[in-house]
Amino acid sequence: MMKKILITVVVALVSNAFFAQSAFDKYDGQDDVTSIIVNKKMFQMMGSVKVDANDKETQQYLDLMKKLDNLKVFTTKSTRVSADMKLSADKYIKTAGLEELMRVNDGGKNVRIMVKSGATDSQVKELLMFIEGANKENETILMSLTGNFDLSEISVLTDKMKIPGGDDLKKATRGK
Amino acid sequence: MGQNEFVKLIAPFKDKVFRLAKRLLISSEEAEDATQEVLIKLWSRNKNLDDFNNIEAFAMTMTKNYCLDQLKSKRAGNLQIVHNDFANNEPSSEKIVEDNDSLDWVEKIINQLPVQQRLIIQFRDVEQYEFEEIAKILDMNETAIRVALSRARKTVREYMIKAHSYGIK
Amino acid sequence: MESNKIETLLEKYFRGETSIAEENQLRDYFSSPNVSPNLEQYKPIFGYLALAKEQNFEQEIVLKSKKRNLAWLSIAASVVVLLGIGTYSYFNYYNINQNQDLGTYDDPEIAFRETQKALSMLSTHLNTGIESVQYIQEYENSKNLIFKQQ
Repeated sequence: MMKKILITVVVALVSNAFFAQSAFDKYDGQDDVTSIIVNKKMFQMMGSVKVDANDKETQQYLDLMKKLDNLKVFTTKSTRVSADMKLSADKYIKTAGLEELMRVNDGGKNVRIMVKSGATDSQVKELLMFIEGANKENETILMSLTGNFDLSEISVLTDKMKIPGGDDLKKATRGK
Repeated sequence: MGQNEFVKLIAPFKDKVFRLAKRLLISSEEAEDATQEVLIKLWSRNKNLDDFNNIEAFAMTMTKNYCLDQLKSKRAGNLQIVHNDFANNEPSSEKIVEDNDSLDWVEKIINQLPVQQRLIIQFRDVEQYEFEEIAKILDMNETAIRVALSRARKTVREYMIKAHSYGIK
Repeated sequence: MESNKIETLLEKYFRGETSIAEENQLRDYFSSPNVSPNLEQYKPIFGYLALAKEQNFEQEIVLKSKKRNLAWLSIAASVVVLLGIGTYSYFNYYNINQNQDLGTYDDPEIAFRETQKALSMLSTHLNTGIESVQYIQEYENSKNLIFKQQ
């Protein structure tokens, strides 16, 4: 009897290890799901992509991508898959020890961003973004990003700050 | 059944278990290990022991089975299964000269008998079981037992005569 | 007992037809000092059989069996092995996934564009959040900063 309990526990532990890594892989290839997966090897290959020297924006993206390990984006319109994604995400957040960075409610849109810090507070090892009711088609989007990057590096990509004096703000903060 | 009770229960036949094990496995060490194993197995059947009429017979059967399994699995090792050869070949004269002790010689002869004959000699000639009991343990009928017993005793006699003629006193 | 009777008994014995009582008679005879010379060769047989019965089992029986411990040992060993396999597989799986698979796209350019889209979306949302929360505060702070710089 003890033997059976022990074996069950061990199997559960072992399968948990797999679970953590592949929590979302099950969505890859599903009918109602659009998936985008970019792995480290691909990010490394991108390093050799030539960029126009004047295209600062693209260069910013490229610089960030070199610091990424893994990108996974799963999009679905199906309510069933959405519910499942939400469960998986919640479960994963707990087991992976992610902290909520922010939560935005905008009309019917619900955005959550969770992160796992790296060496310093602004350094991020892992990021998870979960969006419900993303658009008119009521899509659910699950995005997972791993690597070693700074939040500001992401922020700067679409830095269209709508506050007045935005450019000054940029100059000022850079001066700090 | 408590441990004390159990020890009392097995007291009458634990030595017989050991002797049977030694007859089959030859080595004292292995016989001791086998005896421990059998007794432990018996202990593990604790609850069912009260149901048994004849625990001794059961224990002897267990011992026989355990030792035969051991022999099978050690076919390649030192445990001898030379009995077939012995029936046909004569022991070399060198060996005869070495084995001066006639009692040792008897033991050697018996130990090289085919397993079944060895079992019957052990049960009848050493432990002095009635044929009825032996029949139960070995699952053979009495006639078959007597036939095998006769054969075994005659083989022993044959080699004793030879030994005697070679000067073993 | 006369040797005739003994000889008859002996023949019975070798045919496997003697009773236990009769076998005991033979034993008694052959252990006595008066064994007739032509029967001497049988002496060791009966002598040995009597002796063989004297062998006793002297060891103490270990009832709290070693077996129990072995069972736990094998369970513990299995657990260690399984954890080892699990851990190995865990890292192996992670590595394999990371190293061998490029992902959804084979073409770096397409992968780049898709990643760009994804990061852009992430960035937008990130900034929305920052914006909404910190709108007023930042503005106040930055106003002071700007004025200070100047």
